[in-house]
Amino acid sequence: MKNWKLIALLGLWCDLSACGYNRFQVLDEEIKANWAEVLNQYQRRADLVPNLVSVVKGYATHEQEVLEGVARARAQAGSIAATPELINDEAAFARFQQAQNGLSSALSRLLVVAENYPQLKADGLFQDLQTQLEGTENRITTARRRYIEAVKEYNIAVRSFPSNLTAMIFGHATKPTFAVENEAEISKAPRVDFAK
Amino acid sequence: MKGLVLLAMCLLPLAAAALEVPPLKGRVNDRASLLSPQAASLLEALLKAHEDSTANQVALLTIPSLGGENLEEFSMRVAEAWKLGQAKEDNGVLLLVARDDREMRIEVGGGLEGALPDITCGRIIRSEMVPRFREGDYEGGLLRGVGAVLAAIGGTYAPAAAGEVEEPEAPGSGWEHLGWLLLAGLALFFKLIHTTLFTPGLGGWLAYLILIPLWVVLGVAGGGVLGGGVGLGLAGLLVVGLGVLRLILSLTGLGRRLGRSSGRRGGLGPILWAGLSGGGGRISGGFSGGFSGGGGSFSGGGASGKW
Repeated sequence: MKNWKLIALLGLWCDLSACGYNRFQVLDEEIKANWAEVLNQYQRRADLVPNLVSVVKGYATHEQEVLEGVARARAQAGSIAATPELINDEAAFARFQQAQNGLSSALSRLLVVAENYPQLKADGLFQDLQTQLEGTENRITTARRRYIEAVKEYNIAVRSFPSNLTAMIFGHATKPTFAVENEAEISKAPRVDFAK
Repeated sequence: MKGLVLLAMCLLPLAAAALEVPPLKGRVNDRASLLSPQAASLLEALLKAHEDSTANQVALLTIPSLGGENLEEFSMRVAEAWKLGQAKEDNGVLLLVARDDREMRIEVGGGLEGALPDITCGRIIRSEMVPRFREGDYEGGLLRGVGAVLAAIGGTYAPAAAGEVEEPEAPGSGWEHLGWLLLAGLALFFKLIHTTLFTPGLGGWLAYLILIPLWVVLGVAGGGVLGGGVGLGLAGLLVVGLGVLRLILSLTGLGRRLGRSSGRRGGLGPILWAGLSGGGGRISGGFSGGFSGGGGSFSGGGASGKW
């Protein structure tokens, strides 16, 4: 009787490791860490915006519309709570992405407008802010790519046999990732050609 | 036949796929031939000395062309393949120049983003490298760029005030641009003397003995400027003087006290000492040949520029 229990326990343990229960935990943590980095970099970008807007305002006084567009987009991106739980909610994830994309395109419009103001382009503060913005966009791209890779591995595990049985039992659903149509649009980091 | 065409079409995207990451040959990978052999070996030696004293891995890559690939993407792929920097510290830096695309990038590992923030990288590119590259003085630009990166890591780089770009000197031998390199070399020199004098016990003596050839070379080189005989005298003075000083310091126990306080004192000395030290008197491990990344990772920090 006692032996029988032991064998059952052993069987359960083997089952858990073979079907990747522990692997799911590892992958899940990896996704969380990568997602935190994505959020971190988006936050960093949002923090840069007010400074950038105030510098541009000093030179480009006739560009109210573009400046307001940036402020609006930033407010909108800020209104969606950037929490780690976003990755468990497909709809919220999509909304978050949309808001961030809005900010991306508003910022690139701002930088295009800045091209028309030579004095602004020569301003040291503006150049520094621009460098920081470019750096942040680049970090966002890297962080997103690493998130996508982590989610890919996780989703494959969720769907393929036999680990899909473990996923079913413990309620691991596939996680949302960045859609391709966004990808093309926002992987274009705004940049300025200093040669001009 | 149709099958063949289909197969060819399937393979096409592969052929057009991204540029291959070049193999890591050393700290200086000048595939676009922008450097003279002397400058290349000077940079190699400087970067090696920097790594020996701080464990930071700084490497240079020049390529003829990106082949249509995005600069940042390629740079990140190279950085991820080369794994510059130590595994836990992520203290690697990659300087990338794409000659025909007229683009450059300083890619900074996660651990050095504090010492080399994007803004500093941007300024180094804008005020040290781009002006010289525009004149066609690639060698001068690279020497200045690498020197500025090392100086910035050591906290001794003072960029031109924001927005004001330094006028490049007349293009010449390229050796006039060595200001930052000299400063970095000087910092290393003081750092080595510091290590020799203040490392307690046998380690300090070992450093002293190992570095004897260096003292001789430095003495002769220093004396060479003043005239033949002075060089040998200076070399002897360095070797004997350092030995005697070290003996006195270790006998009196003064060295330990001075060594501990020197980090906190103000003034030029500590700044120069700190110039290339990442903490700890590490001078070991520098004598093996070959170079490979230590497993550092990058998260996209740094800056790009065009000329």
